[in-house]
Amino acid sequence: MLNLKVNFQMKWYEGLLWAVEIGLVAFGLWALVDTLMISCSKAAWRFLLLFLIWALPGAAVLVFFRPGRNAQDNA
Amino acid sequence: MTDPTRPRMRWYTLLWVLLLSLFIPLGILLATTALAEHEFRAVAVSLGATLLIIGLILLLLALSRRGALESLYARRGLKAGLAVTALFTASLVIPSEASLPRKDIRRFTTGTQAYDASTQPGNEIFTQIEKKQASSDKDVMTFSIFDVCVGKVSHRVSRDGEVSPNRVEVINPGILTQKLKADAKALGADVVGITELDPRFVFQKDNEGNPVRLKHRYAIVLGKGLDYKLSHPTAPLPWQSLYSSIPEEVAAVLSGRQVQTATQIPEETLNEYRETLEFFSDGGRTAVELASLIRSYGYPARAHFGRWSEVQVVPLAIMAGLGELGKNGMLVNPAFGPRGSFPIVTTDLPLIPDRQVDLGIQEFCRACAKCADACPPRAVPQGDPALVNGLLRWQVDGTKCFSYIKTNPKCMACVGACPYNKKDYFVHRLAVTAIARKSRVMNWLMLRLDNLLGYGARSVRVGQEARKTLVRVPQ
Repeated sequence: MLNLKVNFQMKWYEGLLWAVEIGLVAFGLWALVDTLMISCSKAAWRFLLLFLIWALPGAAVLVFFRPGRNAQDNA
Repeated sequence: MTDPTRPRMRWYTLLWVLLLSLFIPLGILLATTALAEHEFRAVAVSLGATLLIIGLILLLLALSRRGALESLYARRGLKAGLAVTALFTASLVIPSEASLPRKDIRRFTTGTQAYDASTQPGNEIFTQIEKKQASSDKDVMTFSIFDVCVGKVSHRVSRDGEVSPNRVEVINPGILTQKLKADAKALGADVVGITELDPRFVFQKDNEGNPVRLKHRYAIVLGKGLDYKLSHPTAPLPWQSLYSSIPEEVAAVLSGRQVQTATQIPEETLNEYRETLEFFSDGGRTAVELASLIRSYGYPARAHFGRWSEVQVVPLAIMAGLGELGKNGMLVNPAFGPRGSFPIVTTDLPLIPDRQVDLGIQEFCRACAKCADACPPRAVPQGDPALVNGLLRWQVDGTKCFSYIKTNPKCMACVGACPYNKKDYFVHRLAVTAIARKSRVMNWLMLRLDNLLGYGARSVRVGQEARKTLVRVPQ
């Protein structure tokens, strides 16, 4: 029998960053599809790349930084 | 630390995973290319295949983790699969299709010395348009419907003109050739090729029956591709006007004479008409402007386009390295397939000619018969090529073709059905390069893939439906 246990917690600002990241990637994918629909494939890939580049600093923060002990204690 | 109880991944499993992973970017690239071409079946198939491959990779990894691939049968199966894949890959790139003999035009063609432009199939239709709309018998304007609609007229007399008395001294013909090709592209050509003007391909009479006097040394062939979305039987074409098929209101809006119409014409419809008409008038304009530029250097130059051409376009374009003659009787260019238009400028300006290319297109045509299947009046032959004027090629029945076009001006079935009729995207260039290997297996695979992805299916369907109508009502 499948027994799934999912448990995670994050600070509100971590959640905000996740939302921004997901939003940027979603915008990138939308720009890709929308620009492909007007048959500009080169521009489409560049649009995606643009949004991915914008998402990079946030992704780096999510990967390499965690809220410090003080922030956890204060919560 | 690694878990000693977990089975390690074997080299052949890893190789399978890597091999399958190669297809993921290819699948995504194909899907996005198909989306840009609005080929939605191809999008679905390529995305589905990509997902299937990702699933297979995950399955392989999961089975390997559980040790399910450790049995003798599984190990032998994976190894044998790799061997078969290696053999299949080799068969894709090793040339196994015999090259079509007698391809070299310069060497083998017997030419058609007595070729008279006024006797070309379809002349009675096309010159009729131009003569009807001309102001007099002489100085006939090269009317396209776009010219009529928007007043942009290229005069027939502009094809040739006065040569500048100050002749430019040509020190390096190679650099001049490169510059001229760049100029031609800036003027609107998509591809440019240069060949020596073989007198065997100069008409003896123009389409009005007047003798042609043309002694230029070189022919600059300018290729211009029709937009992909317009190259199918249901797209609008300019010669519809002969049959009053362009709705009066569309013509009024295109001409700018009327902005508001009683019935709202969708912007998309207008754009389709505009783009098609521009395509057919722009080739002539590019040639006229290039010829004028060359004359300004002090060398004679004459533009040839549409029915006013005094040279045979297709053999010159092939000799200029712009493609090969397809089964559908059209010049198939690797960038835009059979949907090209090739105006020519003949000149005495010293240039470096290009060479005829062999891209395996005719060998692919041997395996493919989509244009012949789609052609409503069966003007495109099935089967192997025959010897025509010293060259081995497929001879399209011009009389059948044009008598059908007279009543069905929208027919573009053979163009739309052709597997080379694609947008000039990286993934299609890969396919063109792969076909140039002249492998029988590659040709078979590409043809099956083209059918699976649904390219050209609409044109084949429309063409075959039209054929049924022809059978019911004998012509």
